[in-house]
Formats: sequence, C-alpha cells, structure tokens
Amino acid sequence: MIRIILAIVSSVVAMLLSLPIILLGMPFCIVSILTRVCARLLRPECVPLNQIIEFDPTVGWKPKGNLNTHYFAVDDTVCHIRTDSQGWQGHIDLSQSDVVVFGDSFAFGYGVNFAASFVELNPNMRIKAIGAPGYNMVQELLLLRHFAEQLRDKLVIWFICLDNDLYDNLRPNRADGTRMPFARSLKGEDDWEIVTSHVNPTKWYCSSVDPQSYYPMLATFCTTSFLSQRAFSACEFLIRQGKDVCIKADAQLVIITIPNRNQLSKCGYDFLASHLEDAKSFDPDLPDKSISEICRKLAIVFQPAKQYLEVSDYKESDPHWNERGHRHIAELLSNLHHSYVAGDIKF
Amino acid sequence: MLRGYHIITFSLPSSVSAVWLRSFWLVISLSSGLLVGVLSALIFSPSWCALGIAVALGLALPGLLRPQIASIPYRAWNTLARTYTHYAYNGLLRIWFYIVFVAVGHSRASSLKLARLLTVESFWIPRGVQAVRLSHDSQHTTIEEALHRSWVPAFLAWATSTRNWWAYCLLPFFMLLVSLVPELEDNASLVDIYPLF
Repeated sequence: MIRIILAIVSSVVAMLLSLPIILLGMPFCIVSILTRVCARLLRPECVPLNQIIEFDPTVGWKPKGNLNTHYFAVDDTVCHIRTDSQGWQGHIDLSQSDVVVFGDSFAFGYGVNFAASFVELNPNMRIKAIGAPGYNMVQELLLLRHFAEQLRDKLVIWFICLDNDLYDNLRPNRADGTRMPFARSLKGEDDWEIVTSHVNPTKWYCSSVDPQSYYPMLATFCTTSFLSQRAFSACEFLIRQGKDVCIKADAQLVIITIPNRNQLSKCGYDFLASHLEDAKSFDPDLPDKSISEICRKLAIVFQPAKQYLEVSDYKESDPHWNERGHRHIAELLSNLHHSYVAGDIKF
Repeated sequence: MLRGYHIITFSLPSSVSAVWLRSFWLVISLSSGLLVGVLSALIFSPSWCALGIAVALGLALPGLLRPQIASIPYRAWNTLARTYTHYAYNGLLRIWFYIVFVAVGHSRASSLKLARLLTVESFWIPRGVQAVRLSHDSQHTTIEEALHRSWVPAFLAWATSTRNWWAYCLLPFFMLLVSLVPELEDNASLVDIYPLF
C-alpha cells in the first residue's frame, strides 16, 4: 500500500515536472503524426515484400513473374518493381541482354524504384539482373547453371555481397526459417558439396539463427580466423564452380564484391571492430583481398565495387544502395562492358 | 510507419522519399495557413481568416509539384526533432531516477526483488516457451520479438501476475520515455530483413 501511494505521488510529481518538456515536444509530435497520416494517404498501393516472392523448388524462392507493382522497403520507402514472365527484374529477355548480373537484393535493385536501378540507367547497354533478396552464392550458382545455355558470348557479372553471402553460403536456412541451398564441407576433405535436399516450402527450425549476427560475422571475416578460412574456402569452391559453368557456356565471368557501408569509412571500421573481442588482426579489406586471391588463382577477372562506392551511396536506414549508388554501379558495369567489347577484359 | 515499439513519435524517417517530402510540406503548409488564419482573425477580424487559406495554398502547391524543395526544411525539422528527443529523453530519465525510482525503490518492502519468488529462486525461463507461433501467418518468433511489438500488455501482465500493482502508476511515464528513446540510425541495422513468403 505504501509503495502504491509512493508510486502515485511520485508519478504525479514527475509528470508535472515533465510538463514543460512535453509541451515543447508537442509541435514535433503533431507534425510527425500528421505527416505519417498524409504519407499513408499519398503513397501508391503497396504490397509487402513477401507477396512478391514465391517458393521455388530449385533455389528456395524467387520473385513472382509479370510484376508491375510497388513494395515497402525496410526503411518504409515505397519502391516500384517490374519483373519479366519468369520473375527476374526488368522487361528485357535474357537472350536480348549484353550483360547478365547474378546476385541478391543488390542485383534485384531492392530499395530503389526500378527506373533508378543500375539495370535501367544505361540505355546503350542491356542488362539482365537475375537476383532476389536474401540469395546466397549457392543459389546464384544454381541459377548460373540453370541459365548456362543462354549465356554464350555474354559478360556475366557475379555480385558477391560481403554483408551476408560468406555467412549465408554455409547456412541451411534464414533466420525466419526459410530453407535455402547451402554449401557443406565434405568430411575430412577441404572440399565442398551443394545441398538442396532439404529445400521445401515449410520452415526449417533445426538450427537457430540469430538475425543480429551479420555484423559480428562480417567483422569475423575481416580477421584471420578458423571461421573466415572456412567461409573463404566455401567461397572459392563456389567461384570455381561458376567459372566452370562460364567456360562451358563461352561467357566471360567477372566477380564484383559489394562492400557493406561500414567497410567504407573510419567510423564504420570502428563499428565493425567493436563486435570483436580481439581486433588486432581486423582488416576491413580482408574479404576483398581474400576473394582477389581466389580469383587470381582461378584466373578470373575481379573488381571490388569499393573503388566505385562511398558511404553516401547507401541508404541511411537500409544497407542497400540509394539512387546515387546505383548510378555508380551502372558506371562500373558500363566500363566493364566497354572493356569486354574492346577485348581488353582479360585476366 | 516506422517499425518498433514507439507509440508516439517525434521524428520522421531519415530516408526520404517524394511521398514523405510531399506529406511533410503539406502538413507544414496547412499548419502555417491555420496559424496565420487564426492570428489574422484574432488581430483584425474573422473575415481575415481567408488569408490563412491563401497562405496554405500558396505554400502547399510548390511543394506538392516539386517535393525536392521540401528536402532541406524536412532535414532541418528532423534534426531539431532528434535534438529535442535526445535532450528530452535525458531530462525525463533524470526525473525518473531522482524522483520516481528513489520513491519506489526506497519503499519499506523494497529490495528491488520485484518478481515473485519461485521455490528454487530461479528466474530462468524454461526452454520450451521460447518459440511462440503466431497463428494467423505461421511465423516463428520469440518472446523478445513479441515484446518488442507490444510491450504494454506484457508490462501490465507482469505487474498483475507479480502483484506489483504500484507499477500501473508508472505506465504513462514509461510510455513517454519509450517514445523518446533515441533511434539508432548511425548504422543501418543489418539483420535478416526480408520477410519472405
């Protein structure tokens, strides 16, 4: 009873003392609420992302075909998406393209309108992007194999997203339980196999995944450790497989690594390093160096997108590129294509 | 709307789209028109309130047609709002600690052991209750995620189940504090952000 009385009295006193603070904040509160109401009324008809993605027995999931709609990105922006009859971004067919890009949400153009994505920015170059949010390199390799016959004489760009690919390559499921193909090391050998037998529409709960683990894992991959060695070993296996597909298809493969925005600034480095107990061997460029070495061994052209990107190319509340970032990537692809056409793009 | 557990919000999304710029400009224009109209009606005569309508229309049209002009005012307003939430949060937290916490924490029976004693004096949650399935969309989530979505019912349920009735009095203050929790936007949260099919 005493505590109840004390709680009531102290709450009333606290609220009275807080009154000036509350009154000062009223304009901000009113503007915020009214702006959100107006935004809801003014925005076009949107669907959540999970309504434009469907199950696929080969790779786990893919965008739905013949889309011409808007979806909510993770930072509440509304983005327009168009897909072809098979569900891949854009209206041109793979056979009509000069450049084919395999990747995840970055290839999908997540977070910007379709017209502002790198696919659409260069009218002189026809780019076909084969990608969907959440893909890992295993899924992209499976798609590379699936489309191999249509890749003849094309420039094939493979985006490796350093945010999550190295980690997701080794996982059988996403944090929400969605099953995905992954790479599994063969017992006792430094070799790998691709596992797809578990892929079906039901959720996978056999392994728990912490959705907050991406930054700690990225930080770990920026150090020399057992985990990073394992991740890069799997990465090398997948890149080698991709190279074999492109050689047989008579296509030119180029690997492009997509950095996380925290790999582009000093305060980003400090943020990543803060996830490590021992940051002595932390090197934010280690993933690029490791993949560069892999590509050198396999005689594959490698281009780190870090050389074309800066922090301001990324959205503020979303790890993806903004429109400026897409312009820089379009410039990168244009340069690569020019070199390819001129016969200069060789390892 | 921004996700999370903010019931009342003071700031706007940092990432700006044309929709948000137009909405913000519309609200500011209408608010300015209303203010001018009311002041004119009070100072001169009620018929002068039409001036407010003219001001609102004059301000709103350019922003609706070219939302980019609202970009700088939007960012300036948001910077002010975030500055306010930063200092307001710290101020309210001091009031909480020096008045409410001291009063409640120093009550006769208090040793801050607020949970009901179990026979084995353990606060561990049994493993089996960690997964909570949402029936309508078959999503797998944890108690933590459910709490983040709606902490008020969880708080009230705790207060009721542990008979800490005094905690009910603190709810308005908690709601105010939660509304002012600074949003962490320095590093875009890299979580598993795609809710797939």
